[in-house]
Amino acid sequence: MSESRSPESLAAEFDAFMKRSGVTVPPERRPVALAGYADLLTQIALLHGRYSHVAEPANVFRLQPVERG
Amino acid sequence: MDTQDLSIAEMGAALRAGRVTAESLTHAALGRIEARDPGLQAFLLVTRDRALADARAADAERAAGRDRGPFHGIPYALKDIYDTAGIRTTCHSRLRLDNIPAEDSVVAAKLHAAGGVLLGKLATHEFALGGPSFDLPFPPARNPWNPEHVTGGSSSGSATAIAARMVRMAMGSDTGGSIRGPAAWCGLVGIKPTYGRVSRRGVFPLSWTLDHCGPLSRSVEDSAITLQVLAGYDPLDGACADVPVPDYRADLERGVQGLRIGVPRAFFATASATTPDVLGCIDRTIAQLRAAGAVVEDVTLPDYALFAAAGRVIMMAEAFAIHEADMQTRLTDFGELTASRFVLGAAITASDYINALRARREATDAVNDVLSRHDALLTASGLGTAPRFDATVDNRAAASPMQTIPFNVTGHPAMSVPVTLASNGLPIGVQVVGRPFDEAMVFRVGRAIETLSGWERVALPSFPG
Repeated sequence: MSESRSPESLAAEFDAFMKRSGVTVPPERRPVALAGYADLLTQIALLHGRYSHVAEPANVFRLQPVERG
Repeated sequence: MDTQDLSIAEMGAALRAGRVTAESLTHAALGRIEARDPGLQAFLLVTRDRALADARAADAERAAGRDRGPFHGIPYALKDIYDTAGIRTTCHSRLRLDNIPAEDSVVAAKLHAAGGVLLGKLATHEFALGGPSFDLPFPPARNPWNPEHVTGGSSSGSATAIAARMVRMAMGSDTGGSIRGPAAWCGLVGIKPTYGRVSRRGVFPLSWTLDHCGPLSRSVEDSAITLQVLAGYDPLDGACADVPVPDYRADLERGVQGLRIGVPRAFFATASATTPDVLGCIDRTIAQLRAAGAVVEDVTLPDYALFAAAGRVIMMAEAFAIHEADMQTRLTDFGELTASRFVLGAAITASDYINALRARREATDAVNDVLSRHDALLTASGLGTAPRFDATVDNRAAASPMQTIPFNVTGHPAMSVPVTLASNGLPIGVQVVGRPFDEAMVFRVGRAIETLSGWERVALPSFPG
């Protein structure tokens, strides 16, 4: 995902998330945070497009006891 | 006799036989801390008066005929995210320098009730994340095998204190590998019990659904004795499970004859960072287990990258929710590395988080399926040995050379066991994983590996004093 994005596009997106969250990242800390964001996006990409509607998340409760194999 | 080299069971036997007292054990530990900690920086706070009071109380009780069990009179220490009533608990952070809890965490209360002797509070990476960092109120702990190398995190002080023989057992916490990683890199045993086995109440959270409490120690038996004290239902911890606790030492010496052990080889064999030392040590361990009568075979799990992605997204989203107010109002009070990781949680969408939870279900089902045909799994704890501090300063992407986070995502019990020294003289550990709430099998297989590997004959680092 992030490989095809320009640094400016990634930075703008990151800044939008920070603004919405009310977080101000000081300029001297921004490069490290941005590098982490680019790396995180590569991992997030692995999670999307993988599941159909029948794949439920782990927080949908199962009422039976823990399976012991 | 150097009492610092006695196992917990041996200390208990010596106490019951009257060969030592809890007070003499405590003085020995305090002396060792005084001599070694200045260069290693494991302790944020040494609770000398509390330790001596605990020790004298244990001795008085024993003299009066009361025996609280195997932990009675045994010195220990706590990672500084465990609340301790009346004792500063900082999370190694500028944000909590003045925090003095009113109550003990459940773990601290259980160790106290078992007659343990609290030596102090230990270094961590800030809020059990980040690190190693030099912009925090306390320096990072250093690896006793070579102080120019990191311990791994975040239970850094716990690993340092044990490997330097200041204390035999110390509590850590494990959200992505923070018990098993430092254990592997410092030549120790570290167990992350099943999610729900040990109460997390009173432990500062990093990620509610990934956090686990567990001990680091010198041996599998030490860990089994400690978990016996800690395990059990806490109705006030919503995640704690009401599941019977077996005798963790009952099967320790049964060996692996007839057991089936699966090896998810692709986890470590396909990772570019895996060192030949690690590959060799896994293969040697497999050969030793086979020679001891186990059936060891490769198994297939989902890609490691899926586990890692799910774990990181869940961790960052939950951590940001925990720290959101402080991130909005006092971000620069966090260390730079910690803040650079926590802010990423603000950039995770609801869809990202929910897809991570779908991956968690897929991963958990896959591990349960493999464990329906195998008694345990064997894999690497880490891909290499502890790096030098100066090789970690640019570690901004949170990429981990550990192989531990899959079992935080799935909640299975997992333990790192030391097996050998690499060609650079630093320790390597392997990881044993079991079925939910079957820590007894993890201990049994781990104990076999501990014996077969010859690790018990490896000398720990030596120090003057």
